[in-house]
Amino acid sequence: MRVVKIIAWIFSIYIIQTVFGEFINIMGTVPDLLLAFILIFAFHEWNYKTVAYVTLSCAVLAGSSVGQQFSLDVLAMSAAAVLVHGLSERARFIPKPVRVECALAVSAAVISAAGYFIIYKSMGIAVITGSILPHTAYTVVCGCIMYPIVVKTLFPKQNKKVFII
Amino acid sequence: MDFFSKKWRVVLIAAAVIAAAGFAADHFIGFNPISTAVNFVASPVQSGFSYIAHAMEDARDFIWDMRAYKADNEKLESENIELKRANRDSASYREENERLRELLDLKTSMDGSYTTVAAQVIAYSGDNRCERMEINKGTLSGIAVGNAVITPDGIAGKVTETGPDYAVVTTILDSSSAIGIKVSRTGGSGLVEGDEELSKDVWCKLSFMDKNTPIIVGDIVETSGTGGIYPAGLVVGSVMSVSADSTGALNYAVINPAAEIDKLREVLVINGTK
Repeated sequence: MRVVKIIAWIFSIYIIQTVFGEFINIMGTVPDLLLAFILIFAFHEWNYKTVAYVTLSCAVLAGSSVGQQFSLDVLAMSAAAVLVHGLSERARFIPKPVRVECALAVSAAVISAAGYFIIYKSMGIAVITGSILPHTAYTVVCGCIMYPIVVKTLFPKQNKKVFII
Repeated sequence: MDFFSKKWRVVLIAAAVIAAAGFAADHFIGFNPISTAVNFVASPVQSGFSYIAHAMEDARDFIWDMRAYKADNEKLESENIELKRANRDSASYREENERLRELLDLKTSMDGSYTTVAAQVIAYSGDNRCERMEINKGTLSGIAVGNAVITPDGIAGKVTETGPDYAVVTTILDSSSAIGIKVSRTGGSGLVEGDEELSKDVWCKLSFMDKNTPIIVGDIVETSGTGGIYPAGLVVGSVMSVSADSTGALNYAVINPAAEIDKLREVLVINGTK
């Protein structure tokens, strides 16, 4: 049942990002929903194999989307997922959502900047302020919206408060 | 957890292998088989969802554009009103232009033997609005009592009262009016008179026609020139119906005046001969 939920999530996000881009487009900026999902999932999932499969599947899907850099997306998303999974065990004094969103902001900015650099071979202030920052901000905002939903649907046990007397 | 523990290194290596394979394939054979396979599978699904997306886009655009449509509609409505007004004005000017052109043609045709004055009908008077009318030219323009008043379609009446800048015209529908006529087709003569009853329908009566003179519906009657007021040959009207009068000796016909007596705007007054 959980596998179905994960597939449904990936499928929904992929369709939203590729087909319904017109509806989530704000002034030309489309968020990286797959990246947000991968990081949220990788942060909370304890099963290494599941994280690996989901990460590689999402990375391949994202890289295969029209206009994306396949190699860059696969590598960067996988690396981001591995790093954010590591974060789940570190800096525990920082709330989980904050850690995930910070990692998401850094990952989105790096992937976006790398993508621009690969395509245009240059990186100006205009690109950073006009494209990379809006893309990063929008992705983080979407990540904030997705976080509670993903956690509630895929990791319901983690929501439960445990009182130890 | 160690960031670079063996199991995670495997993930990263797998990602690197996939990325490298994709890059190499793209570089050497021109396309990425992994992307192609993914898109091949995803394309029909995306295609199906794209119908929904397009329908949603259309619905959203329609809702978003409704305000603009409303503003456009109001603008177009006001433009439509303006255009209708302009069209009415244009039609009115065209009609006036046609009337004046016909009047000018008539004036030109009359100028050889008669002097004429063009005038505008400014009011109808009398109990029956079609029996008398007022024109905007009077003695100052050389108009005198007894002058014939004509239109491009036919005769209208004669001047019965004058002022410096106006004149009263008694139309051929007035019961005091009598015009000597002849039937164009046969040359038979008669008298067109105003009739109290017929004038309500803007008609007049043809009488004093010899019963033996053939007259049929549709015959055109024109002025005969007798009486000295109306020049000969001006159209008076057409025969609408024919019947014998009460004595059985004379034909009695109803004439529909050629000039639209109740809708006259401009007329020509014949005020002398050359």
